[in-house]
Amino acid sequence: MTLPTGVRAARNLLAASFGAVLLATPALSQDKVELTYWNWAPHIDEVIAIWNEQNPDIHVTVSRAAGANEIVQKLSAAHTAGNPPDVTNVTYGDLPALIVNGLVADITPEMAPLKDQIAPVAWNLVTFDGTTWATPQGTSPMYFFYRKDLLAELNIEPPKTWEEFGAAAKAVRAADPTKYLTQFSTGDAGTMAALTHQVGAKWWSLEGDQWTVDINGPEAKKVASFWQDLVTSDAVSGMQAFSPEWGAAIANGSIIGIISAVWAPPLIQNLAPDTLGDWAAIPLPRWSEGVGAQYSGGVTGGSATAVSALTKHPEEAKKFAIWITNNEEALAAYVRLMNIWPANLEARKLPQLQEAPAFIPDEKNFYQLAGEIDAATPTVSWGPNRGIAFDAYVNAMGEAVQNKSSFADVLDVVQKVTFDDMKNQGYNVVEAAH
Amino acid sequence: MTTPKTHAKRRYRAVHPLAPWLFVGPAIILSLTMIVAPFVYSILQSLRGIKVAGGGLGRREETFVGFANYVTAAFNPELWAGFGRMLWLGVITIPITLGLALLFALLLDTPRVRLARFSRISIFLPFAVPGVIASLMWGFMYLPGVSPFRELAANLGLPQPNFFTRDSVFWSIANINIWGGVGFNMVILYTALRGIGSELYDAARVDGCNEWQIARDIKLPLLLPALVLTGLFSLIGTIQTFSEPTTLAPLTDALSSTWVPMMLVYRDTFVAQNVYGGAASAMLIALITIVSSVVLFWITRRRSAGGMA
Repeated sequence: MTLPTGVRAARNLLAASFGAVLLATPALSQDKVELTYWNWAPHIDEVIAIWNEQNPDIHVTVSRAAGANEIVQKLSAAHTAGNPPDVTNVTYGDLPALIVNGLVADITPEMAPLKDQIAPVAWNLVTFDGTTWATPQGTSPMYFFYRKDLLAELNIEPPKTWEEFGAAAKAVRAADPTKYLTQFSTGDAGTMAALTHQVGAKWWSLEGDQWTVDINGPEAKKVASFWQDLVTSDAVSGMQAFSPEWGAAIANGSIIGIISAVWAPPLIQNLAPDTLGDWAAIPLPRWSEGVGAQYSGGVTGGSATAVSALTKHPEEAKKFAIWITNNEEALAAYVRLMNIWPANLEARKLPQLQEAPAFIPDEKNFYQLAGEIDAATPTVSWGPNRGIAFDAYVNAMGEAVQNKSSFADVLDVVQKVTFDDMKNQGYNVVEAAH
Repeated sequence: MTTPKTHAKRRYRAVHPLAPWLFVGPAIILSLTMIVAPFVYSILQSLRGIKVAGGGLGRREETFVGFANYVTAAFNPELWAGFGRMLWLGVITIPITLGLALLFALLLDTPRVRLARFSRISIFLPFAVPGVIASLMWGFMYLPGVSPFRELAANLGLPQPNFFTRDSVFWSIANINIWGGVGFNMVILYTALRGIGSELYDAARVDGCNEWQIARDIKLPLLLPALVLTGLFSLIGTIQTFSEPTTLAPLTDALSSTWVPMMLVYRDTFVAQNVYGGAASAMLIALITIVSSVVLFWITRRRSAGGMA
């Protein structure tokens, strides 16, 4: 890690605070372009150091001004104030909100030559109606991570279908009432969305200039009812993922498994470092019948890099955005430091992606599996009001758990809120026919 | 700007016409830039709205919508449900906070009190903890699985309390407010008590009053203006409740993102990307705050004439 000297740190700080001023006075930076870049990842400065070394005439200053869940607010504010960052990281789910607010630049021509190198599931998350608005960083192949030592102890087979999953959850409770197979978090709309992607639900889709909202189809409701049965029978825990309580439960083994994505191993390691080697990773269970049996999982997270619509250096900003998401050296650093699964297909051949992640050393095929799961993940789009949909879900699902009412009805509420809001805002939108 | 020198020359004349402005100037400038300007800006925002122009990912554009946002806000059942919850929270919080603050202030003000300074500081200390930090800390103590209270109950063979049901969550949040609020109010009341002349107490003691009677018949009536003030602060504080439920919400399904009115404003503004609707709801809340403060003053004015009221 190259730590900037005091002088350089001070200059970076100045550049960050007075970026706009510096940019407005080319005399100060005669033949050197200054770019500001927002990203919330913990080790991002090490990746940026590589760029700055290789590109002395385009200097990038990274700022952790905003976390993943506040990027839309802060970018909107910076945009309104006239000094947004030239380049920013953004989750796939937030990207449409940035597009409709006019915050990000169209990068279709620059991205066109890369299309064949990028996983379709990721390409689809940044391209709407033929226009590409960001360059994808990674994808989110989903797994079921579980403590193989504990399942073996309880004499329970790892589940391959959701039916087996439900039976396993109940068997865990019967064998050891202090343990749960997993938790169901009312606050986790992203996971529910992904689990319904698996049965073919597409919460938003855009055809030409018409949006279709499809959240409460019969297949999706089946998924909701499946979880309702597990929650009401106390076969899964009701605790909220990522709460201190959940962290303690992962650490002491009272939660045996987690439905998550490719980047989970280091997160689990943070919570339970002494369980190294105890975890296994398998593809999500599948529905044995009906629509969506072909899908291995859904889309649950991941991020892309977007260029500001107001940047004074569009060429350089686009060049940097494409570099950080597609350059081999950049991605090698990204993978090493932040455990992403790159959207760029070439980068998946990186040597460190040919072996098991350090925390689950027995899973030799972990990354090979990631590619296969990716290929079997449905292509979905997020919509411009994803924030509203997820908020409605969290509130309605909390209510349903507290009142012991129907989970399937929750999806009806989310459908209605999402559709009505788009209609009110003036989108050309229809509801899917079921 | 006039320099102090010119003032010295004019010492025996009438006050320089600029002098009063110099004194009140900073306060006026601050309130204009920090309170009035944002307030006016919010009012202007609340009269505008968003319409999407163009197709699928068409641009969102600002348009003038008049009072449409106010109508939407006024007919939003969730806002009024939030006010209901806020009111219930206030009914729990305010009397207990003020009652405890009053009790501690009176106790600290009794003669021959031991450890006065230590008690005063330790009662005041929680106020120095920011609301978000306090909520995180208490949230940790409420969560099943890591709660020391639940562990204690289990070890004693008692039923384990659940701090996060739809009903108990009111008490859980009220507890954080009370824990953080007692010290501040106690200091105000205690300061008011120290301002009461000791000749009153001497006279009372000569007349044969004991400490309890002094507290009831002398201190309490003289404390009324301070109590009105702390009551007003508590009322405004209750209307502005935000950080505690917002911090606890991710830990439980008992708290929605619109649990109290301020959370609804935040949700509309930042999650739903509707600054305009958020501004209208915020204006309604401001109006209700102002009206309820005036009403409180009006009710208590006659009883606590003069002083701070």
